[in-house]
Amino acid sequence: MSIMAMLLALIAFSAFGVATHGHYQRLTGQRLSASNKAWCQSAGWLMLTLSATASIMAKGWAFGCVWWFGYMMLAAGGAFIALNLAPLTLNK
Amino acid sequence: MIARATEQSVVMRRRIDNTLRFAAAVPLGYAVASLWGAALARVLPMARSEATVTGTLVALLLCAVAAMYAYGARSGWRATWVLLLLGAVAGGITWMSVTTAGRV
Amino acid sequence: MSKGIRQSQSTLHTWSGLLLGWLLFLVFLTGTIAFWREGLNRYMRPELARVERPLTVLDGAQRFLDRKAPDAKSWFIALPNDQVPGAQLFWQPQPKKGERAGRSGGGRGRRDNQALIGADGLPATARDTRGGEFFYRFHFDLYYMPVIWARWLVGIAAVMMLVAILTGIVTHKKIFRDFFTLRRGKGQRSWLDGHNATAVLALPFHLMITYTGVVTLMALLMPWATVANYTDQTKLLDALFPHVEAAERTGKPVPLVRLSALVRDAERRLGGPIGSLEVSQPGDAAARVTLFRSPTTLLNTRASSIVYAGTSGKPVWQSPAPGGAAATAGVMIGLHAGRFADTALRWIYFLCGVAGTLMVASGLVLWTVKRREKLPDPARPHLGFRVVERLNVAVIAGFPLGVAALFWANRLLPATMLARAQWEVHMLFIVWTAAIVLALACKPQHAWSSLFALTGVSLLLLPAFNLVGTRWNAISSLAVGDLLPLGVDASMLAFGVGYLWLARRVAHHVPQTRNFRRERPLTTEHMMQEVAA
Repeated sequence: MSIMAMLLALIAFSAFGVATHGHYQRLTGQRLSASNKAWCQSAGWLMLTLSATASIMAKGWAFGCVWWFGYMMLAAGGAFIALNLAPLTLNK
Repeated sequence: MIARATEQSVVMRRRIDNTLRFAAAVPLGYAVASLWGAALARVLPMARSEATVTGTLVALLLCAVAAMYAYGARSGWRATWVLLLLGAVAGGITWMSVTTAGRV
Repeated sequence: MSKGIRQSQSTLHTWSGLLLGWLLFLVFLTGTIAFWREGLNRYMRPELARVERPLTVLDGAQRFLDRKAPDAKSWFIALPNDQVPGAQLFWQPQPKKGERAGRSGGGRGRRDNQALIGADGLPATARDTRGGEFFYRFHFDLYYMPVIWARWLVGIAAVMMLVAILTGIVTHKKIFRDFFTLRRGKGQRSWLDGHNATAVLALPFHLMITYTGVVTLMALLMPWATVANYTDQTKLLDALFPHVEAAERTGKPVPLVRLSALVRDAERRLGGPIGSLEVSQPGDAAARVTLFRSPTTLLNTRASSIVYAGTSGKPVWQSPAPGGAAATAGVMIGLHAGRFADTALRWIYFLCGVAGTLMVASGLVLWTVKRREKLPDPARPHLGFRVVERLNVAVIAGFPLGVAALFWANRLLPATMLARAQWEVHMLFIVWTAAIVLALACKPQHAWSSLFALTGVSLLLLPAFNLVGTRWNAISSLAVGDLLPLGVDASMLAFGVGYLWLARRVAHHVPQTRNFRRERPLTTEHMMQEVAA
């Protein structure tokens, strides 16, 4: 359940990251449309809500919330590194 | 020569404005935050120790908010008199409460 | 929000971050290391075995105190677990006639009234060191100054940090879009993106740690709510922390019950593991034993407690549940200290702290990078610029070298040396001072890269030294399943590599020349708007 919460957060932040012009263009070669952006961001928020639920189910209200923030921060960092730094080493 | 005098007065006015904002943010801001903390501690409808802790926690946050307002306000003068007014209100509430009900 | 307000908050962000930024860097760095306080307490005392049976240690502690301080006013025993070096003991002797009795009178802090009981139940003999406690204490008490001054300084810096974080959030128009942006090789824009990334990535942590940090100092910084309600602060403390007053010594000697027997009963009644015990008037008919719940499983740092009669072992009092506000404050302090965190969560805390330290450092450097591009004559910058630039090197590059020196001193200073623990700390400041001299004497680029290189090398060499020079090291402890030295040594290797990489980057860096063809001023706002294009 905790692993689920972490993975959901990671998917969520990847979705948020892809929903920005620079990264979308680089990954798909097309311009980011307003509706695609809205879909990606909504998916992201849904994943975050599910992540919170999974975390609270695993560790209770108090510790579940603390861990959820932890998952989110790790996921944000992971998505940032994946989107910004990994492609550069891949293209070399 | 007139242009020079105007330029100097602009610089002077900006200096006064910045000084007022700093005075509003730091000493005045701290005082207003403290007074509101004290007022909340007196007035909140909970046990005395509980109200004291709540007032303290809120006041710490208000310190930061007061500084942000002092620099975000339309002018240094406005920030100063708004904070003075807010401080006077909180001070009044606290003073009235302490003189009527006293401390433990 | 109008453009003018956004600009004013941006300016406030810069100044509230800059003025005490170097102090904030020190606080963040030592505070982040302090999350491993207990681990470092063990790591820096490699002579001590890991605690396997806490109650055996407790029995040994009771025997020791019975011999050493049988008629003390009070004993305090911190119950050990496998994360800490042993049972930390304090005792308070009876106050002599005329001496002020009470909370502050005598005993607790004095070096001759404390001891450490090791895993075997006997007083531990280990090298004299402050261990992880140095980093914990430094991050709010600093050093070489009265603690009150230090706490005021750190408190004010913490409020300025809070202002910096709040204004940083408010200034951002599109905080999440900017977060994923990283423009490389573009001078101040790259630094801004790095500063944004480390700030927003761990934003929940930064907000929490800063506000709760201010809360830990609330009695000092904001006493006015207390003053409005109470004539004496102790009345508030009695209301918030109800306790049973220690009885007067009757003079009738009665043996104290076995403390380890009380632990099991208390754990059942309090619903969780016990963290510490306090015995008042031991060995007397009026003896009382208070057991406190361990903070390792509670968010609220103000743990519940239960009091037993020392002669019979019968419970006489249990602490009431705290009120909402008191519990909130306790949870806030608990979140800040993170004592409830297990190893996995503690790593997250640590990584967030590293991000925070990088956030402060990148903010300080961003200030010089931004202004360097605006200098009318780059060869002769104005005084403010030169001060900030040199302070940046002296603190951001100099202090970590001092920390590395402290770890080396912990390994190299002779065990029989007088005041060894203090000298470990002196070594940190001596090396830091040398680094400051280097920062002031050399060109900044050379100073940055040489200090980073020295730090990197010293951090890389320490784990290697441990393998040959320290009996309890990463390899030897694997056999018993103790991963602590491996974790610390591996982290040092990682940071060592990081510092060497930084040293190389700085040494090869060619400063950008000024672009005379700029149409509009390069403010932070404009740099962030460019991302949208």
